[in-house]
Amino acid sequence: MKKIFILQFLLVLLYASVVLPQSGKTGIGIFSGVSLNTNSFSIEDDNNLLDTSYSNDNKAAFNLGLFFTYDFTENFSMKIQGQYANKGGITNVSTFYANETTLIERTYTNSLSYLQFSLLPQFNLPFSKKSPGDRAYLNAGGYLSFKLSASESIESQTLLQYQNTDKDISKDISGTDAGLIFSAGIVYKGFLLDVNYELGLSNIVEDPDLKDALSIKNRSINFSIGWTGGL
Amino acid sequence: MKNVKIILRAAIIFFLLNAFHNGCDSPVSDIVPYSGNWSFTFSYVNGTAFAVSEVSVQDEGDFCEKLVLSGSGTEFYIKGEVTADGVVNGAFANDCSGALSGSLNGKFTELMGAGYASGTFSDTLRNSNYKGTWKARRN
Repeated sequence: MKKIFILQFLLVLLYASVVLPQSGKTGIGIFSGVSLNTNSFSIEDDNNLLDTSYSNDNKAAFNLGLFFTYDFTENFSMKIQGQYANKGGITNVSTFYANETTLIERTYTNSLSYLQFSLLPQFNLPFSKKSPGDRAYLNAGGYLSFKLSASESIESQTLLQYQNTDKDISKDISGTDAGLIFSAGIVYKGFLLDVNYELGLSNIVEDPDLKDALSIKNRSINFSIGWTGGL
Repeated sequence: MKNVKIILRAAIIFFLLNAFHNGCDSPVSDIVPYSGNWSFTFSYVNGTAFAVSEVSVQDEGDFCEKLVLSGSGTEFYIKGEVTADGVVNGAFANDCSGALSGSLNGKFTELMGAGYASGTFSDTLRNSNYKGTWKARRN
């Protein structure tokens, strides 16, 4: 299924580059940057995991991708984007002293790697009529991600000792993730500056013991720089 | 003389820290991943929740805590053990050192830091209605 979708995506890109008018309306670009990732947790008919023992931190990661744009009008374009995305987050769980219970702080650094495809309608605000490629833009669209790997690194820290454990959680995480993307950016003389927010809508839990009770969703803010030009 | 005082103070602080914590902490490799505080909710077969308990799972996985029934206020204890793999087996008692009755079984699971546990229980000798399911989350 994953291979068929990737093949279809590549065919669409090929179609876009060959069939669509080659008049500067079709553009291609590459981008790379950093993302701040976290996860939202909710447990069945209960509050979010925001009690005293839990806290969430952002995890910084790297992203890299390419995109194609087609300008339907001066102000409206469509962007198709493919990228490597590393998501996940950091969860801290504290256990306090009690009878026969050691104070222990567990830090889970979760790393979820995806191949992500996005379809992004784009509203353009050109800086001038002479160079319509130089512009500010706003995107709102959706993404579909295919999991490449999933792992967690658990750091257990007591007052006197420290232990690190790595765990492959790829069987417990869903193979796909889907969500919304909202972004804004500017293009000037081919250089691109983009910031976007990705709101995961899918529950990424696959573990049969957990998926009916626990919901985990991806959240990311991405800061990217890149280059774009007409085909 | 000043240096001697500083060294003496540091030694006293180090001794006090050690005195408070040495002998209390288990080796981190011996602590089960599910140690800590969990909030249990027990429901009848029809799904109605009827009892709650704040359970502290000890370093080696043992627990024994009071179970309070909503409405009647009846109290008894749940006692059991969670293994490092998350399998939990337990029973009910009038106190932590008393005779056990009934059974409590299930599984603890953890993913990306979020913990959840669920299972079944029965203690129909204590009360013919005391059977059903339980679930728990970190607290």
